[in-house]
Amino acid sequence: MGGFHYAHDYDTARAGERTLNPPPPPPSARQRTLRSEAPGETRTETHDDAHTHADHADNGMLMKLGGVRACDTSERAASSPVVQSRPRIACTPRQAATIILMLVAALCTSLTLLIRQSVNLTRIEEATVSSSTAALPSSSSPTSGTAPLASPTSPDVQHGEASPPAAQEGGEPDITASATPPGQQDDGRININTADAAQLQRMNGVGPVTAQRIIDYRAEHGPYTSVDDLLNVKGIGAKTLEKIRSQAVAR
Amino acid sequence: MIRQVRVDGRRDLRALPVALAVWTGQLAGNRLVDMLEGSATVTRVTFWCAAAGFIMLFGGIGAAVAYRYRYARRPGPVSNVSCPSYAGMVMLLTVAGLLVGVLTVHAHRQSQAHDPAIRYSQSDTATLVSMEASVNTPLTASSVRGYDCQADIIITRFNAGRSHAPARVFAVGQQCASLDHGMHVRFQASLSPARYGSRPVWATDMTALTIISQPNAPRALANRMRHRFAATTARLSDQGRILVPGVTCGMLGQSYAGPADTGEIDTTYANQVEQEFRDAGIMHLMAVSGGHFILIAQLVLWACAACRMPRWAAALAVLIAYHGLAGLVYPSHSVLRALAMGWFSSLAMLAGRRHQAVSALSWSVILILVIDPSKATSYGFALSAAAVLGITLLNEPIERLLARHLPRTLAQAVSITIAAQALTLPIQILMEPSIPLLSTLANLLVAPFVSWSTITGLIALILAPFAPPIAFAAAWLSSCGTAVMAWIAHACGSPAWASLAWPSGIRGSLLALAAAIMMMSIIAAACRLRGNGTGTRYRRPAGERITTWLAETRAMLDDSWQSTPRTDTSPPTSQPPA
Repeated sequence: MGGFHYAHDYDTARAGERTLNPPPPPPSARQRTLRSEAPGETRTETHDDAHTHADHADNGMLMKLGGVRACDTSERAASSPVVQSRPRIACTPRQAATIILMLVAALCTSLTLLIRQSVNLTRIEEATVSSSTAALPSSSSPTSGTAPLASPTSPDVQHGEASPPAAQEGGEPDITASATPPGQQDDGRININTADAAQLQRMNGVGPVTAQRIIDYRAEHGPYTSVDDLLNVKGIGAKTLEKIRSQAVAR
Repeated sequence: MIRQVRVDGRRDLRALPVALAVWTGQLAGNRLVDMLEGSATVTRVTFWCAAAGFIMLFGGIGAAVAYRYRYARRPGPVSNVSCPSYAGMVMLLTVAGLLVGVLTVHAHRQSQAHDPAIRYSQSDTATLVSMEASVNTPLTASSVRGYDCQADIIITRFNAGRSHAPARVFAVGQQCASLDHGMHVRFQASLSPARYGSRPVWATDMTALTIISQPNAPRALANRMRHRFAATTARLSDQGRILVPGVTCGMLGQSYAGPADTGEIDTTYANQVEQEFRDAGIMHLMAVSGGHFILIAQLVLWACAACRMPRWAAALAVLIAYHGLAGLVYPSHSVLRALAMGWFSSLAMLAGRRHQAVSALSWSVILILVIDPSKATSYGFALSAAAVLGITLLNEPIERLLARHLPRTLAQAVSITIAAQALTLPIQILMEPSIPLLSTLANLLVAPFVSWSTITGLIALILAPFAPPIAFAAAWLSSCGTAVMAWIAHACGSPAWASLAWPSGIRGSLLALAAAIMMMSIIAAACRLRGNGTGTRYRRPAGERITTWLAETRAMLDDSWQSTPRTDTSPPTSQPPA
């Protein structure tokens, strides 16, 4: 690599020094045959060889004058680095923590909504269960706070409590609208032989305790033949019967 | 050669492993809950293990952050050295996503198990029960014999108790004319577990229907547009009646049910057209997806640019247009996905930041799946998400590869088709075990007509209640486009060899995925062997090539006509004189 020696002289030369002489050609350029010919030069092969040789010599002189080095004529010139871009898929711990925080927030929102739904449903079931057993005082309303907080992690407890009300509800549906369910007559009266506790309570003057006593009497003595048989139930007197006579029917 | 690796901030895939992990966790959670059905203790143990795993994960992340903060040097700007890989962080995020998926599915199944309506439906009685519900979708033709129409509802009250059960209601006769999207209704019906479909409960034998409240004003307007549009398209040709509503609203013409009088549609012909579209692989055009939304966004942005509106106003206009379109079309899961991604892109425009498609898709999927885990098993949602992921990841490399051999516009059209189908093919095989061989060609041929039919169809839909003649003209123009689409579907879908039979189920799906990966790696290896290095091959423009060829041919013919030899000053010709 003798050429570098002269280039170095040029680098460190100062004004006034012998800089006007061109640098001597690199020694390896002389032996270099011109392989990188232009396509047009193929036509020169049809002429005589002297002309070709002179042609080559001219080009060689040009290369030497220009300071072309051997490695410059190679195919892969290291002119600029190859830039490869790849997508961003890795994250720093701080970014990972942020993503996990967002996931936890979404998860908590979703779980809260689902737990609230479960709590609402379980409270209604608890209220129905407590009213059907009738062992409690009449202060058990569907919105009481005594129902245990339901969570999705105690399915066995809720399965046991929930199946009897489901069976009861499925048998005699309770409606609030203008449609007529099977347990109720077309004129709106309640059939005291087939109604359950919740339906009996819809009658004005009948509370949960009275409803349970009606059902107990029915279980003990068989179905009622008429509404007047309700006088036999403990807690229903003449005044109560007058109140509920227009709402009840015995079929 | 110096090789410099640079992390491209324009392609942000950090949320992608999390989204995939959440989806996989939900599918695995579904399978787990099915396997552990009935053993409550094991379910509880699994749940608490998952919750504990989550707590440990969060602790691990916190420890890593603390370690990095205290002991490690702050990383400098990216230089010649490649980025640290942080593979451990990605693995932790994947585990977090899996846990989130399992927990949400568990909670969702538990809440459904406690719902009174769903529990009643499993008790196998045919008694009528009264309930209140809200209608969530437009009425469509019933898929069950014996009923005229069906709609998806959410039961809000069941036997005077609150409920939140998704269900599907089937109705006959006059009920189909009185029910509509967005109503609150009260009725009596018998509940049974669903035989198929995405809703867990079916409500049949509906009687005593009363309407509690009508739909709100925008919904009522959308319903009116839909009914008038159905009446308008009933006057088109046979294929127009079927395909124009499909390409516009996502509901084929034969599945309309409602008060409008649409006359009789030949069901044999309708089924044949539908099957041809499926066999040709262009059935996705008949479902509203991101393409519609992108079209609307481009129109709105062009209008806002013409009015010189500020960026925040344009973003709000795009958002309003997205919600309007989502209200008009059939609300399938792919529409929900497109709407969620549209929110992300509008927020990005509002903030003035670049829109990252993969990041928006990942977070949309995560949020939708966490809020409603039943969408994890939805084919429409999966197809839509896979198509968008395929297009965003694979479109540019395939286009660069094809642009070396094909003209630019052709390369773009083909690359979008291949990129979308690469990832949706495994999911399609789960639905129907056959590969449509001509689907790339069919999609390519159909591509110019889809936008035309969609835009004219939407104009017809919007104008139908206000200017029926213009609406009919627009619908007729749309049917011209769909006529070409029907012809292409017939040409590419009816040959017997157009569908390649494939093994069904998970096995066939994995096989297709493996075949696609193998093909892609072979092509990538072939590209590397060619050793193109930097830059692209220079290809002269077509006009220049034609001109040069004409000039050379003329020169060749002129030389061959001339008999005199050339003088020394002229350059020698490449052929000897004749």
